[in-house]
Amino acid sequence: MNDERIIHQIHREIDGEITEAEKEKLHRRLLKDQKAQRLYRELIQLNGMLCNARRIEPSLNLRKRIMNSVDAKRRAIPRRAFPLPSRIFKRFIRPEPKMAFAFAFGVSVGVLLLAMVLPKNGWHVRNVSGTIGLTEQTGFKTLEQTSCDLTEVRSTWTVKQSGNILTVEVQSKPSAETRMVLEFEETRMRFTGFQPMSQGKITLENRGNRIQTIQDGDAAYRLLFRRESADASTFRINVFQAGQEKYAHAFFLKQTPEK
Amino acid sequence: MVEDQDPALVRACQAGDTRAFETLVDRYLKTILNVVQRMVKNHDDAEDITQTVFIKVYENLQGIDLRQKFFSWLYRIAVNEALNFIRRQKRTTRLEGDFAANGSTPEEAFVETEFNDQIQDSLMKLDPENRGLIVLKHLQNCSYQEMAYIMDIPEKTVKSRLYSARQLLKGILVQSGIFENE
Repeated sequence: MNDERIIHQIHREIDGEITEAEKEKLHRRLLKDQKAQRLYRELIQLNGMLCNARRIEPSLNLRKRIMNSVDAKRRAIPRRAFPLPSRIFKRFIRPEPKMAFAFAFGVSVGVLLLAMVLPKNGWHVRNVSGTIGLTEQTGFKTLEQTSCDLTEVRSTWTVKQSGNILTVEVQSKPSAETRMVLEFEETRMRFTGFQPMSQGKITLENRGNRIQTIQDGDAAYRLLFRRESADASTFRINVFQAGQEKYAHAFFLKQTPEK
Repeated sequence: MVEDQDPALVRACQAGDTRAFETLVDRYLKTILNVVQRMVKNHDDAEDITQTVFIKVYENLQGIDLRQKFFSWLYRIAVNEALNFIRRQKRTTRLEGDFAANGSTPEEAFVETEFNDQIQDSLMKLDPENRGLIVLKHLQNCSYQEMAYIMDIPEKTVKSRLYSARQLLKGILVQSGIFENE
């Protein structure tokens, strides 16, 4: 082995990329070559030094920051009901008159159809003044309670359960218009009802696995859900004011015992 | 090995399972933070970059090639983000490492006697690409093949650059008195 080759082999050994046969040959050579032996020792020492360098711990809120940003991204990406292949769009980049007309006609029909379909399957928006849906209230046990105590908004959420019925009691005192979004896994929970617990104007929007309430004054109300699965699950609440997230919390629901 | 479960978690993320993504974050958060921190030195910057890395991962999960190891892809994004950050920093201000290289006084040296700080300072004197190779090899134990993918350079170049980066680092450590030359 010439000098360059032996240096190369030393580096490969440090990197764990050498074969047993090459390793044996290298070590035989190291016994005879003082210079190579010195380089070998130095590189072993350097490797040890770097490997023993202290590992840095992430700060406590880094994970939360990441998950909040991801959550915000997830909401910002609109879910397309009918994903169209990009080649269809490409055809309309340079539209000919007939194509442009056909496209405009298609869009108009689509908008008309959507207007007919959306009230059934889209966001249901209403100002709530009374009880909606199932409001059974006996034998409930508190599972978890959380509060946020900010200058902008003071709220408490109490999660209770009785059998497979779950309620989330919200008591909120915001300083300005506040939007609360409660999101859950559709296969595990189903929204079944709303019950006001105080006077006040609340806008309730229901879209499958997302319930949104908007209020600009003090309010207390109860959201009711049916647990569709005995498996453990989570749901989240996020509180926004003027488009900015003020508070977020995830609730963990344990698996319900088998009957 | 935990990384064997990565493809299943990635597939779950692609299907919209946020908890699977949380598992990936838990699994790789510390590792990525350490890679980035060794590249940029400042802890706050490292945390910001780490956050950006995971957001990019989330945004690009649909396009990931599952034949490639998830962590190699993740390291690639992390190293690129760190290198981009360093390039942006260079355009606006000098790096902290450069101050140490040019104007360290005995008093400053005394304050920074902690072994890890000295290793970090020495790493900062390497150019960012060489620093990346040292971090991937010695702190994350990546193979030449993985490093070639992460740094987007041929495997042969990885080897030659890594050898010279080591020699340079050894020289810097000898100069700083951390490493004794025989």
